[in-house]
Amino acid sequence: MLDKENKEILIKTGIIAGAVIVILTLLILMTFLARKSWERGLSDEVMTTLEQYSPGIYKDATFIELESNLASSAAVYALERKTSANSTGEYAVIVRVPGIAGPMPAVFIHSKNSKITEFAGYAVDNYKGKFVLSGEKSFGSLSYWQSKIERILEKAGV
Amino acid sequence: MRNSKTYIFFAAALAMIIPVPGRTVFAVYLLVLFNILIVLTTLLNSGIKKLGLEKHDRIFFALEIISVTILYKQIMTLICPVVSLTLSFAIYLPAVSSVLAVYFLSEKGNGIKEDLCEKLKSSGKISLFVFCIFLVRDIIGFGTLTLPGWKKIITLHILPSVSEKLSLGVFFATIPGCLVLIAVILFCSQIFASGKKIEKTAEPDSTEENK
Repeated sequence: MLDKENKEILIKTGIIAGAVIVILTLLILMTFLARKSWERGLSDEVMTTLEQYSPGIYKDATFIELESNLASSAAVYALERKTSANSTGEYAVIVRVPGIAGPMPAVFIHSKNSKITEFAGYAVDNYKGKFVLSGEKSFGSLSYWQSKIERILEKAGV
Repeated sequence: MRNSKTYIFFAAALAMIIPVPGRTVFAVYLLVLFNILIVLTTLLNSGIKKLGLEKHDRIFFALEIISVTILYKQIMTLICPVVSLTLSFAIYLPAVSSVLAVYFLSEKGNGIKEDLCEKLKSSGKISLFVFCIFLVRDIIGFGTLTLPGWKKIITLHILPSVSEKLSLGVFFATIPGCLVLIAVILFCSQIFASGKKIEKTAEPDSTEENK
């Protein structure tokens, strides 16, 4: 049988180990649950932004895995048009872009055929700030990220 | 001592205000995490004392702060992915503010209840200040009030649509505008504090004259 001191040490170690196991289990469980929410939630935001940019053009956005350090700040989607059954080589990238008002989720569309990248808008409603923030198109962080979209798509295997 | 507490208060608040867009929805998510960290750190401190593990308390605090923040980020991704995308690494900043609030701003209480009350008092002051700054930036800068929703951000247009094309007040939505706002508040608080100090030093003189 254990003496009193060893019993106390065992109880303390058991409590700490139990707490670590519970926290790790919760973290792993939440990571798996949050993954689907990330893909679907951002897809909805991309479609909402594209509907304001080009109404009635796009039907669906399919998530593409991005194996890069940017995976926590960006997401890539393959776009389907309403008029076409197959993929038209158009992709949307939603990326966290730092700007003068802080970081904003910006949506860009890239066409593989024409190799043109366009800024479709922010995934948040900026209301009064829209005109000031969209002025960053011609300079600043938006133009930098616009030039990086092709590189991001290459990392996504597109 | 009082002055240094004021600056630490502003540092703890600025850590959450500056790197984040000035929308109320982000303030809600950040402040919930901030207060959860304060409560859990205080409870963990009490647990560590009961188990007699004060030698390794910093390791436990570091592990607790990191794991709670990562868990919260996953929960936030589940509730609203676009907020999780926007906040990204800024979600780790309430941890910095909570350490400042716990170690430098609050008094230690006797017993867990009193300790928790003291910590929540100082975290409450920081939370109220930060929320007000975000509210002002959201309403005056963007003309909106943004609230957390399920899988989206609920945006209410507060100012009339006529103001949409006016850039008046958008300066406060920007980071430099926010810094100007904080500087003005700090300046006013220092004037108010020095005014109170002059009154306090004048009081013993007036009581002596009356005698």
